[in-house]
Amino acid sequence: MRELRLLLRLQRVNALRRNEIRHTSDRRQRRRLLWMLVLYVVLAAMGLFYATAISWGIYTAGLAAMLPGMAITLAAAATVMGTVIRAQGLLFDARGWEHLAPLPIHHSTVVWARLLDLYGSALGFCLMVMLPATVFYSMAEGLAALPVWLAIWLFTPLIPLGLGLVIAAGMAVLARRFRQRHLLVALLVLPVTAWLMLTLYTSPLAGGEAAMADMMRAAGGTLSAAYPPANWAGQAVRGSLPNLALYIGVSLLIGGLSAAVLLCWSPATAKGGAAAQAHGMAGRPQSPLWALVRKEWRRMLASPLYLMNTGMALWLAPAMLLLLPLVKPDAVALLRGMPQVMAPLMRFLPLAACAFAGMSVPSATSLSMEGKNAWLMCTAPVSTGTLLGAKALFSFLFSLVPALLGAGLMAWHLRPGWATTLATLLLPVGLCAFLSVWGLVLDLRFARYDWESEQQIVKSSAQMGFGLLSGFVLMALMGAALWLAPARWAAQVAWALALVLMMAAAVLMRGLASRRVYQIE
Amino acid sequence: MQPILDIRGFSKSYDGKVMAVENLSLTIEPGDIYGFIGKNGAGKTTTLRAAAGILRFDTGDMLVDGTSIKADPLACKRKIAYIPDNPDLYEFLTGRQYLDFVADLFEIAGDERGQRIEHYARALDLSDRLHDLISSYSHGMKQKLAMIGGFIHRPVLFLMDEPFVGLDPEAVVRVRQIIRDFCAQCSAVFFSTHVLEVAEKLCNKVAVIKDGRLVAAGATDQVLGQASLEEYFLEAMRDA
Repeated sequence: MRELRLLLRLQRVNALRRNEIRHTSDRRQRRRLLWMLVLYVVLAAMGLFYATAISWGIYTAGLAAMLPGMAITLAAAATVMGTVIRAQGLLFDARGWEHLAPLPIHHSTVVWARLLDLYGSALGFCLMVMLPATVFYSMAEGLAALPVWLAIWLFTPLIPLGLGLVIAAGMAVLARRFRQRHLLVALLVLPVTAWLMLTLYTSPLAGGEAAMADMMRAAGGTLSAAYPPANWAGQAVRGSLPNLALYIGVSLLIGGLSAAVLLCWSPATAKGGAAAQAHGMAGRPQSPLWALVRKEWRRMLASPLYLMNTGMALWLAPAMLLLLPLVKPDAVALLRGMPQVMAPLMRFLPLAACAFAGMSVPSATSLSMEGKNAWLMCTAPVSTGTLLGAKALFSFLFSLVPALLGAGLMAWHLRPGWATTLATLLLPVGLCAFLSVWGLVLDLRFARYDWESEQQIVKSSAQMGFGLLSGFVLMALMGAALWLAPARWAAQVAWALALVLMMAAAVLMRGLASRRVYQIE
Repeated sequence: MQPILDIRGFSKSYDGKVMAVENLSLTIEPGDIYGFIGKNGAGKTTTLRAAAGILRFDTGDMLVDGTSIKADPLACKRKIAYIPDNPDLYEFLTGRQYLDFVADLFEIAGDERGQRIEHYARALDLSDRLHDLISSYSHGMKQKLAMIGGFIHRPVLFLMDEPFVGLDPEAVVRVRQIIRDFCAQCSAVFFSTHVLEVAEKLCNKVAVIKDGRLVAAGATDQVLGQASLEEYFLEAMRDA
């Protein structure tokens, strides 16, 4: 028990990076960590706010009886996602275990400590959703069910925790078998995200209170049906003791089973793909430029953070457009039947084709991503033009393919005239070319190779922030140009914009090629 | 005979304040196995990195096979190979993919690269692990792979920063032999080391540096006289 307490304390000591904030002597680092802490607090507050708003909406619609089922299903979904993400590092990352393995602590104690940690955060997720639901339910139905609610709070994390652990373990096993596991995860996450966004954007938001109440009722029914334990909990709150016993029993069974499996199966053996084999023929000789481009591609595939942050947004447009006929088969016909929507849509179609490309600038961190490997680039016998050209070319191709695919699908769905179709295809080319080179300019300005975790560069670097900002500003400027242009010349204005962007990219690239990069001081 | 590396009055300061190396001059001839010895922070790595074209420097120049590293760094880089003290390689590549990448950068043809990779991988006992990801390699294996990557384009000058750290005794013997064979073909190796015994056995020339200044340089037997390198080094650190 003492060992368990010690391990829990060890895990808790740096929660929300508190220990680092307290002890770092680097003022910039402390400031950065404090901002991150503020961000965590804001995110938690936003989560609580959304949960309260949804519960309030259901309460004011007179549907308080649906609150337990909906809240428990949403809490379970949030817990599954949170568990999958956290369990990867806590249970299935061998590096974390290497520190503990030589210590005189039993394996099961470590597993229990990690499971309790996961349960704690799962309880946090659940409470964020269920606390407002309990309050509004009690306001509508009285306080009689409060003890049942309290019991449900405690047991609700167990089932999703078990499910999350199964998914996380599956991913760990996949990680052992597939070298490109990050690509696999991205391919799984992409359609789900696209589907969610499509569902959100194509839902009828108007139609009066009655329609909204009908929609809520339908959504509540769907959610409860999707997660049967939520139904049992709902019945329990309404006074059914057998349902309460069933809910607690199943929760304990699934939670206990997942713990038992983990205690028997050493997570340390689920080490990631470090030892994965790469058989097959050696690569054919290539030019230095293509060797560098291929290396950029492999780096992208090897880094989940880099891939998800720069690649996901780019592929959302084609994924959504491909899924559109399945999710909302009549959406295009409905749009075509609305001339008041179609006219502005046709004017801004080239810009819409750029929407996701403008949100992602892979090159903005590509120089700094070399990190400790930068010495290899320093000593490579290739010119700056080739080094930077390879990074720009990779970034260009990486963003252009999904952008063109999205543009093509948009044109196919909406059938604009040839001039608009050409503009819809050309503008993404110009934008991708410009942003690929502009990203390098930013990264050269803020280059940093001494990072310890990719997070510092991919998520929290100045170049990434400015890269995104540049994309937004550029989109706003192009939007203003298209808005100011006479409607019949909008396509031609888009062609001109594309040409200007391509020329700007060429001029910038010429300037960059004369710079000296990768000199470490 | 033209020196392979000619360091002329090289000085380097950090932030314009801390003088890392001051007015260092050194000549490395073809066939030389040149050991660079000094305490931690003496300026060994700074000198090696400047010679590799990684580090800007204040005054002086370095000529690689007659070409100034300041004037034409690219031409120099084609002739040299460099491995740092801690070779951080691309962990997302396999050993073979890494070597192909390096060979592509140096534009080594397919057959030739295959033969060289096979030769050095066998010599360094790494053949069986070339298709594993580098992230699964030990420090010593990464060191060996970085060495193969250095030898692959047949450089005229190989700069190595602490090449023997992390290598097992058998690998040390093999690396010593590879270095000897390499330098017998009129190339040269310039390496820093703390392993005085290896330096004494391997190097035909040594340079000793203390606080950024060269204390002694020349043929090993002339520099040492009757003393062992260990005795000489300890004495030099006291006197200089």
